[in-house]
Order: sequence, then structure tokens, then C-alpha cells
Amino acid sequence: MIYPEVRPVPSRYRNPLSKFKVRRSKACESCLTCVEVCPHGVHWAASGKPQFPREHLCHGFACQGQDYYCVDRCPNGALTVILNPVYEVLGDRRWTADLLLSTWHMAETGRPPTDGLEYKIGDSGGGFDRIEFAFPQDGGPTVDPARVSTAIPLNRRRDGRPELEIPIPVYGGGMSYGSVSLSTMLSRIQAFAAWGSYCSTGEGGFPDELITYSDHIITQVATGLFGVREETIQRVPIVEFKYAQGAKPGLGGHLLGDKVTPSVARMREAVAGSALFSPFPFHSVYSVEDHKKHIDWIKQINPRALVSVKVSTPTDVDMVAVGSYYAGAHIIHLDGSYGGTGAAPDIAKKNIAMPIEYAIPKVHRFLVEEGVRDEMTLIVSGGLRTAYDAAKAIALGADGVVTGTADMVALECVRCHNCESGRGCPRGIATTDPQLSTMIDRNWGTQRIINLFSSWREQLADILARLGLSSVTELVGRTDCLRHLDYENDLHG
Amino acid sequence: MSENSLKIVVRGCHNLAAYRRLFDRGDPGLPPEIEAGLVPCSSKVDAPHIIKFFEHGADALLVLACPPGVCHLVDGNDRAERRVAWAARRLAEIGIEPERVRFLKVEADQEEKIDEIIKEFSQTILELGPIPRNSRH
Amino acid sequence: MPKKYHLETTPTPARHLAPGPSSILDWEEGCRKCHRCVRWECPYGVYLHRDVDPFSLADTADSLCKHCFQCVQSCPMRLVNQAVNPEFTRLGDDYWTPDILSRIYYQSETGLIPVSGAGYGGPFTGPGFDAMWTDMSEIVRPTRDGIHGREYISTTVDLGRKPEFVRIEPGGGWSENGACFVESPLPFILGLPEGRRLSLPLISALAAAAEEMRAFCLIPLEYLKDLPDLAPEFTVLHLNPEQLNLDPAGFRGFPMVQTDDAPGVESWVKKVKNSNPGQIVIVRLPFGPACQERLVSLMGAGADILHLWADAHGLQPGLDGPDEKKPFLKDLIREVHLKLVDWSLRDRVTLLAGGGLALAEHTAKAIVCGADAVVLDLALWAAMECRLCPDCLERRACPVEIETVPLDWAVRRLKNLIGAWRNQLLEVLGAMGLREIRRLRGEVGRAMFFEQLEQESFAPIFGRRKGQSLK
Repeated sequence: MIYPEVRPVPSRYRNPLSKFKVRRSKACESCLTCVEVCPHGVHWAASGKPQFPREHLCHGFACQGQDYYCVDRCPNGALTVILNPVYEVLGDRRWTADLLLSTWHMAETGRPPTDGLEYKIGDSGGGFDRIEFAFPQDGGPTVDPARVSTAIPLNRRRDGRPELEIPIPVYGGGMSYGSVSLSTMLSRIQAFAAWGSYCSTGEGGFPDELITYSDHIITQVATGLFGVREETIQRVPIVEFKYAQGAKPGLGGHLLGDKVTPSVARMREAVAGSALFSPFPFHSVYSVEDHKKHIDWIKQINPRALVSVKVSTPTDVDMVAVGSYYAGAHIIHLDGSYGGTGAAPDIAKKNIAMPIEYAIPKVHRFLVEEGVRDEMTLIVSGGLRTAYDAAKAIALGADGVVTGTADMVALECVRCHNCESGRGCPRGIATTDPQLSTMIDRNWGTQRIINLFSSWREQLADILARLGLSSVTELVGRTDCLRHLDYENDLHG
Repeated sequence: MSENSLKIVVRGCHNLAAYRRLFDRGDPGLPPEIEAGLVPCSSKVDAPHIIKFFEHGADALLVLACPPGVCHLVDGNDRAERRVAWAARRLAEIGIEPERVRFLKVEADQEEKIDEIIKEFSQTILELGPIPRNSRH
Repeated sequence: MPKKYHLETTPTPARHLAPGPSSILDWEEGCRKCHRCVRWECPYGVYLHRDVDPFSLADTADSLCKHCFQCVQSCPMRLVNQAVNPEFTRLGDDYWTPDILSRIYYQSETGLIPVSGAGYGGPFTGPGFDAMWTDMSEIVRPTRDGIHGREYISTTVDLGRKPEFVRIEPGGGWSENGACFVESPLPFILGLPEGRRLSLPLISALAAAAEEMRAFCLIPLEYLKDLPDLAPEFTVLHLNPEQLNLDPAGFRGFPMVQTDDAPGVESWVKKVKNSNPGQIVIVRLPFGPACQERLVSLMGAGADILHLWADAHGLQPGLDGPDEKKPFLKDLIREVHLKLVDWSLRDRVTLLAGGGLALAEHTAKAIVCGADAVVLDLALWAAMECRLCPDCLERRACPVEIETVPLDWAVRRLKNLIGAWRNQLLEVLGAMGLREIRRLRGEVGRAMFFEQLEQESFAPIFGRRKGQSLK
């Protein structure tokens, strides 16, 4: 299997954010000892003089006591290493400073960090952060990681429609044109296309620039029906019905007035400067029979498309899932309550509907009991941040995952939560402001996301190998491979 | 803030544990003319800001910094020291006594008595009295 | 078509600058004086508007900064940095966190629902109300159109004793057996927090805000003489024990009267009910073991409303020991509600709950657990900029000069907060597909509890939970 190539892609900012700061005082006499001894490439010289240290590569206090500790090796004592005060301001309980920094590291290098930065879990105190894999005691892989398959099929219904398969169990979630810039969309789509996977358009319509990638695009049909036309349904291999979104279930999409630029308005056939609210739910769907009509409609217009149904996670999510099965969907996509959004009321983000970790085993079990689990592809999303979250989601019962925020963090999102204010994202990711949206070069963005998923794939393969599994499909529902730190874990011998 | 009452501004680095502890119960319980606050590093205090403190009614300023070699930002305390000295010189040019602006790197053995240090400073300023201003202030 | 209730909000800036979560460290030494300084490129213009606040002498940049790190990451000499702001972490306490207080300040200033980008960033679950989620309905809606349907959702509650049945009088005519209740367009009653500064301007503001919102406000009797413009129809008169021997005829004009529970208070309740027919009597008592016994006796004496309170952190009052072991408001309310349901007495009385209500979602969750309406107190003080200093009454001066709040300003701040909270209730009810908040009372089926979700989803996988309480 040939995977897309990893190429180093540094930060697009002059000063990458780092956990440590390395200060060089005027006592420096340019002996360049630090440049020689640092194994991490922090110190470098130009024209015989040491330059500003590459702080984001620094392993900080872990080097203390080692013979390559630059601070001790400097003959003039000119170097000091300190914890960067910004490190304590960065991130939150779900995307901690460490997760942000390690995701940036993976996006830059395609490998997880080796300096002790936490790259597997966050600090939310529950859900995935309290679940770990129960690797066998003797540790080492029992299967060759290079031969592990991380591919999953998307059409398990054997209904004659294309049997699409993706080489990694991830595809890109919908982030609409208007909520994010064209560069962001193209970076994601190009990256997922390079991986042989797919990416959703989100509900803001199908910009012309995406047409070349149509074979890798999922058209989203959302409640506002923005930009939904026969062509946009016919040109793609997968069509996604968005009933609800995890971050604000029961509420429609929400694009504030300032972000409805003239190009967004054109795309969505709306009025520039006027806020856009998508209704909830679909005005044409008030029963499961209506839902089946919806799906039949798409299948009729596009005879080769697979249909995905995206819902949030109410108490009866299992009923909704089985209803979608009977309505003819191929993929049921659960979007948990802690997922991302361009704008949502804080009360909805936190409180409405359940976190994805609870929904996955519920739906998996229910579909198994109904006898239809093998005919459905269960895809989940909603705050999945790392390869470990994805693997845990699969072990809990999902077939694959969808990402959104993780892709944006790869593009150097800092989770400042200001996506919706005024002109939008000050870092050029979640904005269509003509000036701000030029901050990202799409080739830079594409390679960053490719690198990130290369690291994810490697980590997944490692997890599977250590569990003695040769394919990610074997991990589905293998809850016996998991342990919860707040439980006795005494059910499986 | 009545016109006749003295206002002594104290800014101390929150990494000075004893200073920080003064704020655990809310108000540090210092004499009424003291307006004490916490800064993340003494280098938060900016030279132009010091001038503004005096503009906005301060009669004195005390900056408490970490001892040499201990600053979490390496040389934040040194920077603060130079800035306070600069500000004192500028203020002296307009007739404000240099004793009204004080900077101190608090050594480990002085930490216990930090509230005494502040009160002593306050005493000196009480003797100097408020800075004469025109009635607008 | 009945006139829709509308709560007007007006942007009302703070009187005192509140600290932001981070502090900008902006060093000058070594500055190259670049032609295009990164500070002027700040997307939010923070440095352009930066100043020293005259009252607190704080750097206004610390309150304006939106932590995008543009400046930090662009300065060629690396002179700009950020650190945690120690003045921010000083605000509030472990329950009324600096983040929660900032949200209240924001809502009181703008009247807007807090909306932000990116997903939820807080803890997965937590003690108290954080261990509950509200449900949504994938298809059912209060009206056809999700967004505009919000205007038709009612937040009106009934306070008092509702008629259980109608008695047909001999000779025609009918009466409602002993019923007396009023409607409040909001499920909030404005109250006074314990242990915080109180003054006439503060109480006047509460009373005026209540009147403008057509909601109810608790006013202690001794303040009446200083409030000549008080609208009695929106006032709940509160009597302390010494005032119970006053002739109740003197306060007939008030729709509701309240006093605290005490041995023998039943006789006062009866006295008031006899003297002032139609007047609603509220007895206030703390949650606790004695609570349930008292309920029946108080109701028997004629009390129409029971106002149950927890402490400022929502915990059962009067208990020693660590907070983690104390019962929390949501469980306390449920217990009382279910007891009354068991005894078939639930609809004979209105339950008000108060204590530890810091976010809009807390009020919805309290009602889900069984309260008819809630009493807000500390949140109202926070609306007027209160920072919940631990030494409120002992310290010499209030950092936000709360005792001298200007009336207009305070009334607008209160209305903004309550308007924002009400709008958030509409969001939650809209997501559930409920048309009115009355239907939310006791509807635990519309909520999901941490213990229940863990049991359903995780117990079959991981077995028994280790015997530990939530962090």
C-alpha cells in the first residue's frame, strides 16, 4: 500500500509556539558549542553566529543532567531554558497545550513528539481521557506493523452500489464555505484525496474550485439546503444528510452576518451581511417514512452514490440509527455533543445531547441486536482529537471516524474560540474575509494535514499490532481491549 | 478615592509566594492607602504605564520582583528594575521625588516580612505626603 | 393571539474593568522599531485601544486580548508574550469560577447569549449540574420552523396553589378550592444573597428590574419605608421572625409574603391565610433531613409555596466535612419533588429552589429535577460586577463599588442577564421540542444523568465503577 509522502512543513508563523523558551544572553561568544551538542536541532548558526533558537524543538528540562544539555555545556553560561508562560495560557481541558503542540509537531514532521509532550489524551477527566488500551503485558507487537491494514469499507449493504474503501478509517467532516476559507477547504480536500479518502463540503454549497476533486467529495445536504442542486448531488460518490450537528443539536447552522461575505452569499443564494440560520429539522422530514423518501430521492438522482446520515446523540440515538438502516442509508454518522462548530451557543455545546463515547457502544449494541450491524457503516465524530481517540472509538464499536477540529489544529488553530466574531478566525482558518483568508497557502495546508494523518496511521498500526490484530476492522467493538480508569474492569477475565 | 487620601500603588510578582499569599483571603489587609495588585512577572510593569499610574492619581509606586537568578522569564526582574529607574528619572524632571518610586528584588529571607516592607514604604510616603496636584485630579 | 412576552436588553458597559484570563507581556528592550510593528497588525486592534484603566490601574489590553497569539508569533525580536493573569484567577471561587463570572459579566453587558466558535473545551463531566445533559429531539418541534418557533415558547410559570378541582356551588356558580396563584412570565424570582453587601440602591435596582420585567422580587419588610415607588404587585414581602407579630392586614396589598421556617410558624401561616384571603404564603427553609417532615406540616397549615435553599455552591447547608460528600441541589430538589409526588401532594404546592445557580443551564436543570421556578441571588450581584471576594463584609472597600450602583445602570445590567438566560432557556426548550417551561418540571426523561449514561454505556463494558465520587 502506497501512502502519501510525508514532507516537513514548518509553522507558517515566524515564532512557532513552544513549551519552552531558550534565552541566549550577551555573554555568548559564538563558540557554537550549543549548535554542536543539541541533538534536537534547537540551536543553529548562520554566518558564524548563533541565531534565535528553534524553541519548539527544545525538550526543555528533560535534557538536564544529560551531557548534551546546552545550558551546562555553554562555557559562558549564556543559555537559560524556561517554561514558556504562553504554555500555561494555551489550550483548554479537551485540547490541552500538549495536544495542540503535539498535533502541530505531527503536522510538521509526520511523527509524534518524542520529548514527553502528551499526544494521546487530553485532560477532560472523563470519556476517552479515562479509557486506555489494555495492551498485553509483554508489550511488544505480535504482528508486523508494516503489514497491518488500516482500511475500512464504506458500503457494506451489498446493494450493487460501488464498494468504496478508504485506506485509513478517517474522512473529513463538513465545514462549510463561509465558516471556513477556500484555502482551508482545499487543504483538507486535497489531503483527504491524497489519502484516497473523502471530505464533506459542509452545508455551505459546493464551490467551483472543488469540482476537480469531485471523486473525493461528500456533498452535504443540510436543512438550509444551501447550494443543493442536482449537479452537486450527481457529481459525487457520497451524499451526506445532515440532520443535526453535535455541537448544537436541535438548532440549525448559524453563520453570523459579518461572515456572510458577498462570495458566501452568492454560494448560498442569500443576502450579504445578513445572518444565516439553517432551520431545524428538515422541513420535509417529520417521520422515518419521510426520511426514507429523502434517501430514495438522493439514490434516484445519483445511482452510484452512497448515502450517509449524520445525526447528533439524543437518548434515542440507537432508534434513529436503526431507522436510518431501514430507510436505506449506507453510513450512519453520529456527531457527539463535544464536537466542533463555527459558532454555537455555549449552553448547547456543553449541555445538549450526549458525548460520543456513550453513543457509540449504545448504537453498536443495538444494531448488533437488530442483526443489521454488518450491513451498516458506523462513523463517529464529535471532539475526536488524536489517533488514540479514533482507535478507542473503533474499539467501542465504530467502523471509522470523522475529523474536523483536528484538521484545523494541523493548520495551526489555537482553539481561541473566536471563529465567529466579526471577520472570523484571526489565524486565517475559519474565515472568508478577503484579507485574513490569504494567510494560508493551500499547498502548505494540504501537506500539514497529510503529515498529521500519516502519524495517525502509524499510531493506529502500532496499536493494532500490539493487540495482535492485523486489520482495523478486527478492532470494531473489541471493548475487551479497553480499560476504564474509574472502573474495576473485571468483566473479561 | 477622596482628593486628600494618599494612594500608594504596589505591584508584586505572583511568583513571590509570600506576596501572593497576602491575597488568599481577598483583600491583603494592608493599610488603606495601599492599592496592591498581582502581576504575572515584574516585567509586566511598563515604563510608560508607570508614568500613567502617577497621572491617574498615584502618589507612590512600589514594585516587588523576584530575587536575582530566579525570575521565571530569566531577566524580567532586571528589565523591571531598569524601567522603574527610568521612570523615576522622568518623574524627577517634573518635580516628583525619586523616593516615591521604589523597586525591590525580594530576597528569600525578606519574603516573610513582605507586609512589613510594604508598610515601611508606606510610612516614608506618608511623611512625604500626597503629590500636590491641581484640582482636576 | 396573546401578546408575546418580550424582555428588552440594552448594551450596558461595565463600570469597572474586569481582568481577562491572560496578561500581555510586551517588552520594549531590544525592540527594532519595525516599520510595520506586529502590534498594530492585531486583528482586534487591542494595542491601538490599549490604555491604563484609571480606576484599577490595570492594563486594558489584558481585558481586550482574544488570545490569537498573532503578536506573540510574529514579533521578529520575540518581545511579545502572554502569561496567565493572576488577577483573573483571583476572581470568584471553585464553584463561581473566573470563567463563569466572566460569562455573567458578558451577558450583563450585552444581553446576548454567549456564542463562540470551536467545540466545548471544558471538563467531560463534573460535580453538581455538570453531571447532567439535556436531551434533544431529532424530529419533534414546538412549531414548524425551528428558529422562529422560539418566539412561541413560553417561559411562564405559576406560583402558588393551583386549583386541584372545581367545586360546583349549590345554586350554580363554582369555586376553585382554596387556590391562589399568580403567573410569572419568567421562572426566576429575584432574591438577595447571604453574606454579601446590601444597600438601598441595590434593593431598589432589583425592585425596579422586577417591575420592568413583570417578574417577582423578594423585598425585606424593613426596606419598604425607603422604597416609596415600589410596585407591590411584583413584590414578595419577606418578614423576619421579629416581624411575625405584626398585623397581616397591613400587608394585604402584596401578592406574596414569605418568612423563614421556625417551630410554630404554622400558626403564622394560618393567621395570614385567615386575614388575607388570596394572598400567597411562602415558607423558606434549608434543604436537609428536617425538610421533608416540615413540608407536610407547613402545607397542612396552608403554605402555598415552599422556598428551599442550598448554599452558594448549591450544597446542602449546615453540614461539616468535605464538599464532595455533601448532597447537591439537583439531587436535593429531586428528592423533595419525588417525595411530594409519592404522597400525591406535588401539585398542591409550588417548589422554589435557590442556591448555586450560576449559569442559565443550571436553572433549566433545576426545573428538570422538579423545581417549579428558581430564586436567583448571587448571579444578580455578579451582573452588577460583584467579584465574590471571600472577605466581602470584612474588607474595607468593595472593588466594584457595588453599594452605590446607579439605578438605571443596574436595572439594565439585571435585565440583560435575565434576558440572556431566558433566551438560553428557549434554546434548550427548542432543542427538546417543548412549547413551555411548565412541561419541563420534573421531566427527567428530557435529561441524561452521568450515572445513568455510565451505567448504560460503560457498565456492560467495564464492570463496576470504582467506589469514588466525581472529582
